[in-house]
Amino acid sequence: MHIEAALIGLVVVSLVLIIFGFPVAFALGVTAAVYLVANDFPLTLAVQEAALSLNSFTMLAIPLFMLAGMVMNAGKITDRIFDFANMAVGRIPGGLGHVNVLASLIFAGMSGSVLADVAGLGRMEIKAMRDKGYDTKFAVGVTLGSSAIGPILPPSVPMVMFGVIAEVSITGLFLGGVLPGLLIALTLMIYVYWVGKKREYYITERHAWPEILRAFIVAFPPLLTPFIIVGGMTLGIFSPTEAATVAVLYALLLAVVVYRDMAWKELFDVFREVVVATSKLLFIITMALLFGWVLTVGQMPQQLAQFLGSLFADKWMFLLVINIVLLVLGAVIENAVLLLILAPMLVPIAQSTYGIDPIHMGVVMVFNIMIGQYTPPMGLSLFIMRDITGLSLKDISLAVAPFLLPLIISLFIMTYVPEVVLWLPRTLGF
Amino acid sequence: MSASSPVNKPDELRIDLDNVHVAKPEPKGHWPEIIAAMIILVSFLALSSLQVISRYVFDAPMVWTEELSANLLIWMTFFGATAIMRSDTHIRVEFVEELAGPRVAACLFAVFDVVIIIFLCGLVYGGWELMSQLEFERTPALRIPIAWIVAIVPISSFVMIGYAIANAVRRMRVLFGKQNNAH
Repeated sequence: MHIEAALIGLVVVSLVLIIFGFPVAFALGVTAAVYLVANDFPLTLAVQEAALSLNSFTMLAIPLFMLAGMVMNAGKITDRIFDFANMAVGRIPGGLGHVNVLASLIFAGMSGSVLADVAGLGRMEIKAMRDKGYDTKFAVGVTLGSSAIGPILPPSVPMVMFGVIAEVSITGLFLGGVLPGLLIALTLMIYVYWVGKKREYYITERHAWPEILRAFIVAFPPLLTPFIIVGGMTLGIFSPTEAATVAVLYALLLAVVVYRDMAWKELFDVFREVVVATSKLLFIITMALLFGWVLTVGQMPQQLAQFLGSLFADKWMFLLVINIVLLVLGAVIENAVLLLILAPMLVPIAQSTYGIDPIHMGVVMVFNIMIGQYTPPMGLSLFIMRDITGLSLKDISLAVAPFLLPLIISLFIMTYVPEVVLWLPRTLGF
Repeated sequence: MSASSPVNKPDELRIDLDNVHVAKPEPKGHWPEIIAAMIILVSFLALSSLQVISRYVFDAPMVWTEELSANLLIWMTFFGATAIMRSDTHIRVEFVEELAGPRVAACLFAVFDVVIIIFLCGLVYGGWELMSQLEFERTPALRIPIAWIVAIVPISSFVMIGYAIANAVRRMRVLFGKQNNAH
C-alpha cells in the first residue's frame, strides 16, 4: 500500500474526534486545516475551498427539496396519505406495519430526505400502532426501516449530492432509484407480513369501496408530485433545481390553497426549520469538500484506486467488498460525509477498471450509506427518533436491528442484479 | 400512556408521545442570522421561479439568476451555521455523554470548543487574506466582487468565536455543578 502515512493519519484522527463527540463539520475542517498548515499551504486555500466549492446551482436543489417535504408535512398532507394507505393495505396481516411502509413510499415521492419522513410521519405512525396494541419496538423499527425508501425513491437529496460530486446525471440517478425504492418496500412488507401473522397484530376493519375511493381522491394531488418532478426532468423541461422549485410551489399550492391547512405562522416555522436543517447539512458538506480536496491534493484517491484495482480481479468481488466496507463505515461516519468523500474516489475506479455504470454505483452507494442512518453510534435517524419518542439510543438501535435484514437483502439484490437499477433509465435513454 | 385500547398488550418499553421534551433547543425564530438565512432561502425560490417563468413564458432565458443564487448559497450556509453554533446544536455523536455522564462530556466538549475557536481564528485570518488577494476578481454575469462572496467566511467565523466562547463557559459551569446538563 502506497498511501501517504500522513493522509491515513488525517482520516484516522478525524474519525476518532468524531466518535468522541467533536462536531462533525469542525472535525473535518480542523484536521484538513492542520494538514494544510503542516505542509506549508496558506490558510487562504482552506477558505477558498470552503467558500467557493459550494458554488453550484445544482446544490440549491438540496434546500429546495427539503423545503418541499417540510411544507407537505406541515400542511397535514401526511395525514391524508396515512388515511389512504390505511384503507389500501391495512387489512393485510401485519396491518399498520404495511400502512407504515406504503405511507413512507408515497411520502418518499414528495420528499427527499430520511429525516423529514421520520420527523413527519413517524410520530403519527408510532402513536397509531401503539394504540392498536403493536409492540413499541416493532412500531419504531418499521417506521425507521421504511424511512430508508425516502433517499432512494426520487426526489432525493443524497442523489443530488452524489450527482453533483461525482458528475453523474441526476435525472438518471432519480430514474435509477424508482425500482429499487419499490423493491425496498416489497422486502419490508414481506418481513412485516411474516411478523404480523406470527404475532396476530391488529388489522384495519373493512372499508366500503366508495370510502376508499374518496380517500384516494383526497390523497391524489400529493401522489402526483414525483411524476411532475421526475417527468419534467426526464423530458428535459426542468433542471434538478428548477424541479425542486416546482415541487415547493406545488406543495405550497396544496397546503395553502387546496387543503387550506396551513397558517402563515406555520409557514414561517417551516422556513426556519428548513434553514436550520439545510445549514447543518450544507456546513458539513462545505467542510467535507475541503477535507476531500485535501485528500486529493495528497493524491489519496489515485493511490487508493491503484491499490483497490490490484486487489480485486472482478467486479462482483469489488462490489461485495465496497458494500461491506460502506456498511461498517456508515455506522461511524455521518452519511453525507461518507458520500462526499468516497463518491469521487470510487466512481471513476468502478467505471474504468470494472465497467460498472455510474448510475448503478450511485444508487447502490447511496442506499448502502443510508443504511448507516440506522446503526449507532452515528445515525441521524436514531437521534430524531430519540427526540420524538424519548427512548434511549440503545433501545431504538435494538428496535430497528431486525429491519436491517430486509434492507440488506434489498441492497444485495440491487447490487447483483444491475437491471433493477438500470432498466428504467436505460429504457428512457439515460 | 395510551393504554385505553382493549387490544393493548403489555410492552417492555414505556413511552409517552404527547409529553416528550428531550428535543434540544433549536435556533429561535427571530435571531438576525436566522432571519438573514431565511430571506436568502425565500430569494432562492423567487429567483428560481423567475428563471423558469422567463424561459417558458417569455422565452428569454436568464443567466444571472443562477449565478446569484449559487453565490447566495454560501451566505445562507454560514448564516445558518452561526445560528447553530449559538444554539450549540452542530451535529455530533453523543455517545460520550450517554456512557460517561454529563460532567465528563462537558469537560471534553469544552476542550473541543477551544480547538474550534483556534480553527475559527484561522478562518478569520485566512478569509481576510483571501479577500485582499481577490480584490479585482468579479463574477462573470453580474460582475459581483468575489471578495464579497468570500467575506461571509471571516465575518461569520468571527461571530462564531463569540458563541463558541459562550458555549465553553456554559460547559465549565456544568463542570462546577451549577447545571446538570451539558447543553
